[in-house]
Amino acid sequence: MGKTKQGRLINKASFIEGCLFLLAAVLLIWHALHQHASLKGVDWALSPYLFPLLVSLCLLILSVFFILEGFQPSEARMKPPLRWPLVLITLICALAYFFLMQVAGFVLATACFLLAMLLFLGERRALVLLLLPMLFSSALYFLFARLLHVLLPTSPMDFLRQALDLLFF
Amino acid sequence: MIDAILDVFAYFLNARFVLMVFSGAVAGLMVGAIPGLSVSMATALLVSVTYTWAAQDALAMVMGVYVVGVFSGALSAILLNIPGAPSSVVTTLDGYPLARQGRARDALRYATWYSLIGSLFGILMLWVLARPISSFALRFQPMDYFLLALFGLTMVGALTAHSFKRGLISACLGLVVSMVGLDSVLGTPRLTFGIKELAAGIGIVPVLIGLFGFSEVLFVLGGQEGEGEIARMTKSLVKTRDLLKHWLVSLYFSAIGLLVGALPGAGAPVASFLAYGSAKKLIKNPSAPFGEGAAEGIVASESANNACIGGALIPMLTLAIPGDAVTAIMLSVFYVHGLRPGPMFLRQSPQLFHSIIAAGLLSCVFLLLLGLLIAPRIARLITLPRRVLMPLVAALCVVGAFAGNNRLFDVGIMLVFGVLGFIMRRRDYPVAPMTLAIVLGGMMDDHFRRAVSLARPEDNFLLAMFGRPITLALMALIIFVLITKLPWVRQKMKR
Repeated sequence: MGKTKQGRLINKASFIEGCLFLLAAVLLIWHALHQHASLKGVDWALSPYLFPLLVSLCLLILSVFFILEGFQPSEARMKPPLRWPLVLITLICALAYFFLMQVAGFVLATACFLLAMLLFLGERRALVLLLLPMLFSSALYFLFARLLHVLLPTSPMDFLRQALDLLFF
Repeated sequence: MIDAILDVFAYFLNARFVLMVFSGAVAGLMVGAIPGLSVSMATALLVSVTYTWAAQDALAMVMGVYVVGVFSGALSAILLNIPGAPSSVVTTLDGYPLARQGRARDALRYATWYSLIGSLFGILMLWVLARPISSFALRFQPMDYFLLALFGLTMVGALTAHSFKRGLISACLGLVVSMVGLDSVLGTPRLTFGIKELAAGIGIVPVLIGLFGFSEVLFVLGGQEGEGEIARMTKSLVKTRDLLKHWLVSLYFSAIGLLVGALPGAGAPVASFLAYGSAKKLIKNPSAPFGEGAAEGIVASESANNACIGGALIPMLTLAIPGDAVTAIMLSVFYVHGLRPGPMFLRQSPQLFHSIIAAGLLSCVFLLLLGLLIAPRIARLITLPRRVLMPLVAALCVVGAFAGNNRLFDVGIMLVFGVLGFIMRRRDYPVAPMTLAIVLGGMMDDHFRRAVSLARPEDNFLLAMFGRPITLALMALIIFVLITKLPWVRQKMKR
């Protein structure tokens, strides 16, 4: 991060993080005071906002240390560069999985998610691509829905779950 | 005394009793190893299943789930970096790095043997020390509980972070998260911002899975080619004699677990963190640096969190105050069967007390067998290539987050905390203090407000708050940790 120079911002990341924590702390303090005032007749000792106030004060003090750290060499260890496209693809797939589950049901959505992820990550063996999503989503369905009675999301579109129910239950 | 010993060991010859404990142990191994399924969830399910059973059978099965379930949380912690329970968070610190070095089997063997030692120690101490420890725990006032939790958080911040400030920030953020939901005293919504799903609070299970599981998926997939690839498991295993050389020090960690477990609310996560902190101070030459695959880290964590079982049962059986979530559910098993734990329980129902001890000891035997025979087979999971393993882990994270409350909202929470955990790891913020803060936040809030309310009418407010020996001792410990982390003090200490 370079040499320490008196009064110069040399660690931008810590400075920005410190400012964000400071903002969060100030907003929390304001929220706690504002909400406590709206609870008419409630003593501070019983107030639900006493503890948030205490924590946000601690956050405020710590944020000042972070802002000051902006003027010192970074304490954060250097990390190797990220493969951002893969992270973003994983996140998009996970979000799509989340929404698809509500529309297509758990088993079908899980199989689609696994297939998409395997393809994105470079798996090209046809047998793995075909069998793994089907078997794993079925195993999860059997374990959670049938054995542990977890009410997994269902949908009339979920033909995989219907096939499993027909075959085994 | 001899009658009591014979009574306990007579249960070992009761095939039905042994089968009940074994069934519970297998179920415990499953729920602990599968991320998202907790021992408390399994015990809660058992209450409904065992409603019509005899109390002895029900408790035998619950003990099997409890003892083996706490141990098996270490399996996913070591193999996937997803702690099966908050008590296994510390095990991830060294267990997962050891697995990544290709020594998953060694890590599992350490976890198995020292979970066994911790569990045995806890159960035997429950038998011997039930009354004296309960009377000591009874002396704790609300302020002491608050300070004990605060001490746990400062220790975690100090031990798991490269920078103490980052550990404390992580804990502060965790405390903020723990405050979301209905306030326990007035019942008013707090920090929910009009989102009705948040009224019930942010569940610990989706948070845990997100912070440790999904963030790991993002971290591994975002790493460079080859990086994060789990090394092939080595065939050579550490010799049992070498493995067991930490038995003496593990008794010390078990004692920490027992004491912390006997304090209601603190539980196994605090115990394992405290034991880990002690290990770092006590063991000058670990097998690898702590946090990078030190077997001693697994020894400390697993001994302490399993010894908590015996500790948590002490106040539950003698005072009807549960030491943790599982014992709280166990208490309901007692009530369902018309039993009343409390000071008179040991006198009125010695057979049932002995059956609990016997079930605990039998569970230890099954823990060893399942840990040595079944766990290594599960360990083969990690030899899968990451392009295959990571999507499976992601799907497991989703279903695990959903399973706790059957809510898709929790899956969203898991994803949010997954991204947060990923950012924190990239920026060198430890996630363990945040986890512990979320677990302890509610308890800290309750006790702090109770302490302030109790001290308010007194003439000398400060004296009423802090003027007790236990309180002063805990305050001194916290101040000591904070002072030793000040930069100029650290520089002086180094010199």
